[in-house]
Amino acid sequence: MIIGFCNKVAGWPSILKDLGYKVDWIEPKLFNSEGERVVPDIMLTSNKFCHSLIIECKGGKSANKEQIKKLSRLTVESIKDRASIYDPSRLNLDICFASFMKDSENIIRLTKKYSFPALLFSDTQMRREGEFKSKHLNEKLTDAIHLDGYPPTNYIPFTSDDDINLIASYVLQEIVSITLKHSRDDEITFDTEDILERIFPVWKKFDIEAKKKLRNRVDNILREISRRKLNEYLKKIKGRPTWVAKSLQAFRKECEKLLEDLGKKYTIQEKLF
Amino acid sequence: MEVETRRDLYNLMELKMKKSYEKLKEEKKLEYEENLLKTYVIETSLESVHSMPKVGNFEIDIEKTKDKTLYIMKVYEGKRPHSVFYLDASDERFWILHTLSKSEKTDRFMNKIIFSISNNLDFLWFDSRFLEDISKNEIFRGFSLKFEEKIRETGDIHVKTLSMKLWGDAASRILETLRKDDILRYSTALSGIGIKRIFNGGEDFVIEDVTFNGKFTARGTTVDGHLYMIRKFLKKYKEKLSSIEDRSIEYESSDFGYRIKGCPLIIKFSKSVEDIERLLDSLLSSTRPFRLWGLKKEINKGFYKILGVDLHTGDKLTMEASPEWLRIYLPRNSCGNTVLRLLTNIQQHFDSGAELVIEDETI
Repeated sequence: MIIGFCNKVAGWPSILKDLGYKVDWIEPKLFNSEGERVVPDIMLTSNKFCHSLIIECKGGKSANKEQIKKLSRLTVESIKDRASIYDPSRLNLDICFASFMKDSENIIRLTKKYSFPALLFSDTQMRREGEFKSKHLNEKLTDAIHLDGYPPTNYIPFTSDDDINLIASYVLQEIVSITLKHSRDDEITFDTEDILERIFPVWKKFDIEAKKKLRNRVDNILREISRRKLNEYLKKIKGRPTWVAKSLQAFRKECEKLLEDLGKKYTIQEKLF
Repeated sequence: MEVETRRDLYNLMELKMKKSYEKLKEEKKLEYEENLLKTYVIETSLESVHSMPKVGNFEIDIEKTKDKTLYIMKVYEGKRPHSVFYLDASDERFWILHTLSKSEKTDRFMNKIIFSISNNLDFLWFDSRFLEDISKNEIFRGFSLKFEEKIRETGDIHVKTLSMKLWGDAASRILETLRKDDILRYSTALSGIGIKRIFNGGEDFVIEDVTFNGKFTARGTTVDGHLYMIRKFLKKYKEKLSSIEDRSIEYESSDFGYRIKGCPLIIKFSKSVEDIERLLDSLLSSTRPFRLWGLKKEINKGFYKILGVDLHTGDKLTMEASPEWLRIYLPRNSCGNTVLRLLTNIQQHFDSGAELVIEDETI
């Protein structure tokens, strides 16, 4: 949603782009004033206003005191060399949290001491809680922003917390793409790691914990694909580098059935944990 | 006349162009086996002309010439000679195929070879705006409209098919009138244009009929004029493709973090789609003309996420759809031609007023 605010995209407001913000870094590895490593979710920079905005996106329960304390020690010095800006000596910094309104109580309580502003989302609007140092941001976000469209969601394919059938859709897309791009008739082999590297071009840089969680989830999906013998649809016609559309349509129907079943199966399991 | 060099080919083409123009002028018809010069421009990601796939009953024989990038492509249907193309591969991405064989044969072969799955060949896709814009700088002769509703099968279908050829000075006015009509305005995609250009102060000229999928049929007195027109269309088309591919989504990583470049491309519908699910099912059915495979998921009411694959290239294409627009995320190194194929075919089969918008600018 926040990346969407930095672009002109039909169906979603470009409130941050209007102030000159661009997505500067995703998960930048910063050092705070105490020399501690901090990895916030996103850093936006406006060359126009010589300002960077670091945003940590949190569900209410996932916020912890230690992390907030580390974030509070980030200073302009922590980002000066990395912000895409024409005059780093004039750079200013704001740090804020983004959360869904329904989960925001805990965040607001934990961050109160540091006076961090927050961007709070509901299905229909986003509003500012607290004050930014940047007057331009305060002015732009004086009133709640109506979100009557749909956010662009494909900049980052999925996270380890997304629905299993969404992750499975990406896995199936990748498998079809690999198979079609494979020009020879011999067997195509791939594993979980290959699939994730293709889906996420920056997979190698992912955090170890996130990698582990995603690997487990994709392993489950590949096992299910293999159990259902979907790979039988992926054979090419012998001796001809071609496919038959009919089999692709049948494959699509089977994939849709798989997604539906995965959704039911894993939603129940995940609720239990 | 044997073709061994590019010059031989152009001499042959010019001879045929002049001859067929004279015949048409005098007798209003061509003799049996006397065919107009046609040129197909196609997009390819094949490594070489020798990787051209075998399709259906057609056999292809590629002969070299003295020119390293000019080939003679002889097509056989079964064992019988079918057609002959002169293939100019001097541009690695866009091959130019000239032919003097019969149009019905060459069209059938081109359709067959282009629409085979995963063959890394595609037509060029000239959307209506592209054709209208490019014709503004030429002597305009006329245009043809072809619309065939392929999405809706039931409900209020005001125009199921529409086919029209308008030649003459008033053609543009008629098009304007059609586009003012509340019902017809959504079914007025251009399927081709007729233009004329004069060269050398009036000494020479060329008349071109250009279709929405990159076929040029030429008459006139100068083959250089014909080649000039092809280069002109191709240059504009490459500019449009660059605007698309420059916005493809790219991830850059370093030890510090990672960055995302690019933005979604938008196909904006000129009317709200009543049954978006049906539209998406048609787009993703793996069949002509869209040739996309994909899975859709309703994220929110009326808002879908689509994970697709282009069957021409195997490239991924991720989209979001609402009744008002399609957002397309083109991964880096994927082919922008997929986006123009989607746009042009949406215009031809669903909504002729659909437009491609990039960062608020219609292109």
